[in-house]
Amino acid sequence: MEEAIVLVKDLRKKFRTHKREAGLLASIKSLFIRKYVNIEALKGISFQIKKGEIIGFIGPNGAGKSTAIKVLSGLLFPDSGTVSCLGFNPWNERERYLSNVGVVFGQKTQLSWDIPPLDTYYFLKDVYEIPDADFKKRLNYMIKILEIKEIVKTPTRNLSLGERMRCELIAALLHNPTLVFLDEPTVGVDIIAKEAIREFILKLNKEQGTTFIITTHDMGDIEKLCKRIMIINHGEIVYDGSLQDLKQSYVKTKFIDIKFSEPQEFRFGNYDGKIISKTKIEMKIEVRAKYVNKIISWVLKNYKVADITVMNPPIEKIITQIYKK
Amino acid sequence: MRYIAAIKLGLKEILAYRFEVSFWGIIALMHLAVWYFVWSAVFGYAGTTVIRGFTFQQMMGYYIASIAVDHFTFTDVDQDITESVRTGTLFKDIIRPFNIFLTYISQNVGYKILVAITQGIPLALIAIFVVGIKTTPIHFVLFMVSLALAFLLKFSFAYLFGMAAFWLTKTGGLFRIKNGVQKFLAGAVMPLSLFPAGAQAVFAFLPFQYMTFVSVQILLQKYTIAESIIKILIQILWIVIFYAIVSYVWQKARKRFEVVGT
Repeated sequence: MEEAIVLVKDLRKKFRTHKREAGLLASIKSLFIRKYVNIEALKGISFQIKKGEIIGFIGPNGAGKSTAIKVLSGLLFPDSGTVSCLGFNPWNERERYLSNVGVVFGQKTQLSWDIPPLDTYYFLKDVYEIPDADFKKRLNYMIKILEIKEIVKTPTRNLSLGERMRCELIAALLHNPTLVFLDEPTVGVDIIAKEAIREFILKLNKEQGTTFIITTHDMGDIEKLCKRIMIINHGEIVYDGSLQDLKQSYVKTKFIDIKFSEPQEFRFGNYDGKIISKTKIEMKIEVRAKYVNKIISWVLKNYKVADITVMNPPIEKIITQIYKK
Repeated sequence: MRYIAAIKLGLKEILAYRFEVSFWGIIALMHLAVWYFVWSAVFGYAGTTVIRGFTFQQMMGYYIASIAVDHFTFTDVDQDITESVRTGTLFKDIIRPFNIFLTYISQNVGYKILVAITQGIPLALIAIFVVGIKTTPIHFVLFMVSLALAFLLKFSFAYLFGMAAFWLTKTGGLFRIKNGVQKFLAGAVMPLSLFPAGAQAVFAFLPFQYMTFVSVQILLQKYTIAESIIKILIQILWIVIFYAIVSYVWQKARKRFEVVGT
């Protein structure tokens, strides 16, 4: 077994913000009286991550997943709890820790705004003291996989979101970090760029053994990349395990698509089920997972069927169920 | 070297704004023109050739030197910090393994290289051939040292104010007050030697005159070499004091940083 490189124990973080109603009067009132609200972003979470894992942090907006990543990358100070990443405390041994870490915040750029990303890369080369040969090799390799040869020569402010995001990844990975945090790396990115980004992450994980911690709302990212997911909701980890196990333990129903070879009037007979959509020759039903086999043979026996397909409910649906708890 | 890389980055960034830099040069000349007309009027009205020990020509010498110093030591690191705290982009410097203060200074030095070329040279030519400033090589060298220190001092002071953003979020009003007071007390509006002796005695205990006035006085040979060196040592002392305060406040400020938006 690989050793754990991230150890988090009982991590807590509170934010204090003030709230006010909309409107001019409320604005004036808030000059003098401010109501402060404490928001518990993390309520004592604990977990461990091993070298070479790709972990997906998922959870609804404001659940605390970004906060967790910000604490781990040393941006935010926790109120209590212990964090050890790569054997370092992210705050007290900042410079040594950060030399081995890469970070992307999809919503914010780390590239210099007015100059091409390439210039930022050359700056980072000196910051991390990357040897010339390594730098050239890595840069060319990444530019090739992400297909951004010309893009890196355009000033950052002129890039589209998808172009910029690919450039951000290079900025976070040029120094070949062992631990990488990606906060929504595919937000607002088109399908082709998304694919490129996912391929890239998988390749680095496989070839370099890079450990990735990713937050995302895109279930495609999760299904393609993450063997292990952590669902964070209301500042707590509500699920920590593989996507496979999640499906098995939460999938209670399956969908069956049926195409009849001639128009039929379908009835469920003795079985429980829900008709999702229905025409004379085609229908979609939702049934309890454990009766799927029986229902299929019953349908085949009683109706003239041209085609039949069984599907799991989309992962989004499973996650939604957990979020709502 | 990472800080040399930051100087290069600063230079690249500033070169992206070709026109901006030439505007600064124009502003420097406009300032000089304004003070030329103001003091022409004052000397004309007073009907004397010497005001508080300054001839008109010496007064212009003071202004061209103080404008050069003021422009060279200019920094908007305070606004940069506010902006990156308010929008959260400060994260990109926090996640890198370097000292942020030193990196920002280095970037600013990068800008200064361009300022020195585009404004320093024309102002020096005007100072020598039009206004007729005279100095000695040794005073000039001391002036250059003091100029670099004035920049570091002004930068540290601005950086300290910039960190107010961690508490206030918006800092425009605060910076206006700071800039106004600083400019006046640094001697960038008028020579501090025009003030009454009592006021000058107070100024001596403040850091501001070491941001402009002292450098100008060194260039114009108002101090002996020994006096100049003492002033330079006091500049260094102020820089050390401000750097200590900056480091202390930074530790507090860092804990307040909340990366907004994501």
